[in-house]
Amino acid sequence: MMFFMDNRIITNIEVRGVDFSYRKNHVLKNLSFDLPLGESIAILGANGCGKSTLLSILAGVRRCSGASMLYGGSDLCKDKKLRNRLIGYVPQTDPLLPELSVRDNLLLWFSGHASKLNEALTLPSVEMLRINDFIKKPVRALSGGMRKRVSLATALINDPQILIMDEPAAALDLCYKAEIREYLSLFHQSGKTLVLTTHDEEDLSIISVLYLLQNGQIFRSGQILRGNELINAIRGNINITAPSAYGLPNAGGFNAP
Amino acid sequence: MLLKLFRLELKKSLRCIPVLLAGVLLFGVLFTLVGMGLSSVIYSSEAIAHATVAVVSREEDDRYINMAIDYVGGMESAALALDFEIMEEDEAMNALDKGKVIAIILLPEHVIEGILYGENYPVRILFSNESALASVFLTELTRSGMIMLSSAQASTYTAAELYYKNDHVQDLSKAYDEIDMINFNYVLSREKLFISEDALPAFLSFVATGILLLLCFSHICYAPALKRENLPFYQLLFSRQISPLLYLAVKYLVNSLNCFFLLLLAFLILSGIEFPLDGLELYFSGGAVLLLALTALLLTAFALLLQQLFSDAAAVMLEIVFSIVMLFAGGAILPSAFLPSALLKIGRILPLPMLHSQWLSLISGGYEFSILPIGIYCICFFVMAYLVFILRKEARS
Repeated sequence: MMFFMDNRIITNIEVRGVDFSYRKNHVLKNLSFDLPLGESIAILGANGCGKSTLLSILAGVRRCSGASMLYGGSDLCKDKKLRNRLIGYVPQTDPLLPELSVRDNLLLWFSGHASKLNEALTLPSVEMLRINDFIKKPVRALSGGMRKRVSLATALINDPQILIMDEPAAALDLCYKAEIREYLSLFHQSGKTLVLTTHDEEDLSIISVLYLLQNGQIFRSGQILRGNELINAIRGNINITAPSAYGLPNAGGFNAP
Repeated sequence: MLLKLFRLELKKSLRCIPVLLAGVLLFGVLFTLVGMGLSSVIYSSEAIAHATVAVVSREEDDRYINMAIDYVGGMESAALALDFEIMEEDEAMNALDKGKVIAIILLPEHVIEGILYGENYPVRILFSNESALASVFLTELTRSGMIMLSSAQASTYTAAELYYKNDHVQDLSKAYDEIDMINFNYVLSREKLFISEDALPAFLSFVATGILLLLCFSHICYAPALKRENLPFYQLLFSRQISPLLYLAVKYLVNSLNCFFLLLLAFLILSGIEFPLDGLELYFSGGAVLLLALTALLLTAFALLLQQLFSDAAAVMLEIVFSIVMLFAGGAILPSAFLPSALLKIGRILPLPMLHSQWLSLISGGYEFSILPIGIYCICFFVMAYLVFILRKEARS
């Protein structure tokens, strides 16, 4: 899928100067990298290395002064409207109001008029989640898998081009994990961009680009690592192959050790 | 986005109404039963528990003493808790040691004469250490007795002055006995007046307390609408041009409005009912609407603050506990005479006792506007809730 802005083809989002400290812990150290559009990207790393923080900064829910996300000529860190239109974000914990119905939850995040919600529910990316079956039910009455689908729907209801998802399979049983993975795969196959973090090796089956986060720095891998190779990479025990060697688009700005 | 948030918060708040109505019904029945039970105990003709007070008289002429004891013993409040028994001093001391009497009233020689001629021969009261509550009754009783005797004495002197002025000094010594008897008789016949004057505000005060407790207890049903959401929800919301202050203000406003309209509806219904209780009047007026609004704003602000400070269940529990404690400290549950003055001073500046006094004035038929203190409390609670909300959000981020 081609991304256009002012008749220009946009192939990536240039993320620059992401620097974040939490108390005395320097979590992200002036990260600069490119997010290739149309790819499905996984950001991997050990627990507490800052993956979720990085995703929340990319989604705009966490502020990061000095950082920029250049999309065409616009900085998504400053142009909130464009960012909200372009990016949908699903945090690890479902951001839902349990007392309200699924429909009400969707309505809160839907940027259009309430009367247009039914139309938005027919969007392919939303329809495939099959939430119409339980749209009138209160969220608190739903199972974990259903809630995750509703969370996905709230992120996709404005038809974003990029979906950022933190730990899609967290706290789900095997059946629901497979279900969510299938949705994400379909989303990516529709030509949209998927960025996620995961601890589940199975999720890598739908990934085309891998970023590894180590010691506050980001490294891009040209191949999808498996098993011990993946574990060693996360621990920082092996070098990661530069992407160009594997024919993947070299987005530039990454650091290869 | 703001309108949608308002609408959804309203929806959440409205969903609390069925539980709220059930709560009002439940607590209403409970409070009515407790109120009726207490009323039947307080105004029952049978005493709930008796303590004996020994009266030791060194007076030769016991006529007045017997009369005074008959009078005091016949008072409803005294008869509820105390029996007076004339004893010899040794017998009384023995009874006090054994706990058979809770106090001894030692009447010195010439005590009646002293009262008549304006000299004070102090009456000694010896208390037992083990009967604190009955001692309080007795202390209050002696205080009232002193006031009563002062008035009786004043009237005796007035009569004496009249004898002097009309040159009937020679008849005065003969007339003293008669004057004193007349005095006592008139004092006795005023007993009804004191009871009826006292009972009205005390009864209404408990009605006001009951209303406030019912409102505080029922208000916990708003907890699902006031509780904190999870951090990701807030992060997403605040990335969409909704500030934390705006969010909290919407939540506060929506729930206050909901509470206010329910109170208004209940008040409109109740103001059309003629209560079979003397002195209880509910009139719809601007003042009443203002008080209902203040009540809704205060209760919601307080609950919002507690929800920010504590977990859901703890906040609900504390809302109940704090409302009882505040009303207790303000003298709305137990009469203020039983409370230490320091506690009362603190209690009177607390928001619920302030609200109590306004409700009391409303239900007794005359409401005076006093927005400022409760308004300040509402603002303070909201600002504190906001600060806690921000600090908590920052800490969790």
